[in-house]
Amino acid sequence: MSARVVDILNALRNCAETITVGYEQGRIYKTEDNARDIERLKQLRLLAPDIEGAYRLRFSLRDFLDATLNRVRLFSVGANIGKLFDSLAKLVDSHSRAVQNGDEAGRENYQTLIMEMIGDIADAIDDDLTVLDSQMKSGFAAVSTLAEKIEQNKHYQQRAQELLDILEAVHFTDIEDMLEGHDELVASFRALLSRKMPAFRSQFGTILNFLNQYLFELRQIELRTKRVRTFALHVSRNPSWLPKDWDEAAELPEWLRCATSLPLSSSPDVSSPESDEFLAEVARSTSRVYVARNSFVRRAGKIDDDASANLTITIEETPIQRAVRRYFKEAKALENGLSARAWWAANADTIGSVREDVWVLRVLIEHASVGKTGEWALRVESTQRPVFTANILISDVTVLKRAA
Amino acid sequence: MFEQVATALLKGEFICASTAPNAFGWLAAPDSASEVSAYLSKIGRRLSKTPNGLAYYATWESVGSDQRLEVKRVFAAIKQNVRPVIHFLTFCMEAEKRDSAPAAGDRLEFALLLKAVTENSHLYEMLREFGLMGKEFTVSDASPNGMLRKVVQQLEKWGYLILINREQESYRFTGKLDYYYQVMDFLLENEGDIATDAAADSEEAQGIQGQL
Repeated sequence: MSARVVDILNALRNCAETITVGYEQGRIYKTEDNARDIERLKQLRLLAPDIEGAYRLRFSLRDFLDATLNRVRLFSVGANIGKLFDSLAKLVDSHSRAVQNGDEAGRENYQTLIMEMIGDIADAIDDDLTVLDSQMKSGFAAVSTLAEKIEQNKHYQQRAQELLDILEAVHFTDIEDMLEGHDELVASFRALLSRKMPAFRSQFGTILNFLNQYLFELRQIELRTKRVRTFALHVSRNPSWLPKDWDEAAELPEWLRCATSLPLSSSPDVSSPESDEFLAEVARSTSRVYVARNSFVRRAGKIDDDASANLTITIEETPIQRAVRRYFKEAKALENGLSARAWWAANADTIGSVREDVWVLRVLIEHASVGKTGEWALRVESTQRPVFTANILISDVTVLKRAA
Repeated sequence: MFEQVATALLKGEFICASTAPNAFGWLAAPDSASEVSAYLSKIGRRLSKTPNGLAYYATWESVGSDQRLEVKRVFAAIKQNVRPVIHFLTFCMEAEKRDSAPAAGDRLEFALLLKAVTENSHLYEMLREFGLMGKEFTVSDASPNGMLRKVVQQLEKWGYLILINREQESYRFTGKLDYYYQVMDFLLENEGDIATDAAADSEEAQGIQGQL
């Protein structure tokens, strides 16, 4: 017997490549290279003829590989655990009869079969739990559409319920009582099934609850999708549609009571030393600044009043500020003044990319803001519009020395 | 966390698992929620959450004449985005070939949408329709990339999408989508003409099935 097992395992090893192709592609075509493997596997009843001269792996080998590789097929059925328990009950009956009849050979044979059957049932339950658990965790990732997920969920929900019912029914059978007196069988039954039953039932119960909840959620998504489609269709069919004036309703729906943003702003307390760093940071973040420290000499033996060495932050002039300062300095020294446009044309390097109209406007703004204290006068060259609009058209401005 | 949550709510933000996972998780605890509620009630607001519990936001505790003006502003914003958002949702469903409406937390890959638009003239037409829905969708670059980018950016600006990976241009639907569905459900249930349309469609579909 053992030589036969070794022979089969060797054959499997030698035909590994052909088996892999058959498992992954679902079908094998006979070629010169694999002809020998195919014949050998056919002989071992591991390969069966398929259509169009091809071959496929037999269910037993495919099922073994699926279980080993934890590969879950859609709508997988698992083992018929109910039938396995029926067979176990029949074997236990036959075993009892063999004992009563003093049939030692029969008793030994039934004992081996019972122990194998107990192991088979425990493995089958475990395999089913693995399949259900992986389906549960993946959210039926093997299928993409909502309808398919619902179908998958219903299938596995039914399977989990069926297994839970079987396990609960087994709890009330007298298999364990019938095995009493046969220590090896009792130990096997208890270790592999009886003691694990509460855990099995709990796991199936958890999976069933999850699947029920998941189905509920899938149904909610289905309903939501239907509503989205209805709404989208209505909006697309009625291009001028707008919601009614629900904001006028006496009793507002919750979503319309949504409190709008409250503008929040804060400023540091300038009297608090803790704000110094923050204020310095604000000053630093303004454009084009450089920081300088006042230098001082500490005199020995004298308390220094200015020991804090305040940070002095000087803001550098922007090009336009520099241009304005230079223009006013030059213009206010002249009796006849200096045209802003003429200065703009002559000082392109100082002004940079500032447009001519912007420059004239900037000169006007400077005059409006500090003109009263500045030592200059301003002459505006303007024209009225043909039609009264209360506006004048300024063509240029001239800054000149203020009369004494 | 209290300060972060309260500030966000007062700024009119929606707190959800996509935009502020820590704050959302913190608010899920009953003690935290009641602490925030107590604070908001002192300034005439209360803590509300969307029907599926996917986002928190602040609402007026009572609506007086001052709040009416704000309510009108909220409603004006809804009127402005109700059509583009539903159009975008159906656009996403068709582009991704999915039979379920997007939900808060779902990922959105810009590259996949763009690929779908360039390969499918119907989707391209759908994208062009955004241009008719308001000046916020007007683009100078009328290429699929330019138009789609504008649409996605606008949805992000309205708070329905959040950028989760700048390099891959991956976005996620925020909990505010649940708020949109709340608005949509209200309109479906309370606006007679939509209900009539839906009933007519349903009867028509049943008629076709009956004939088959």
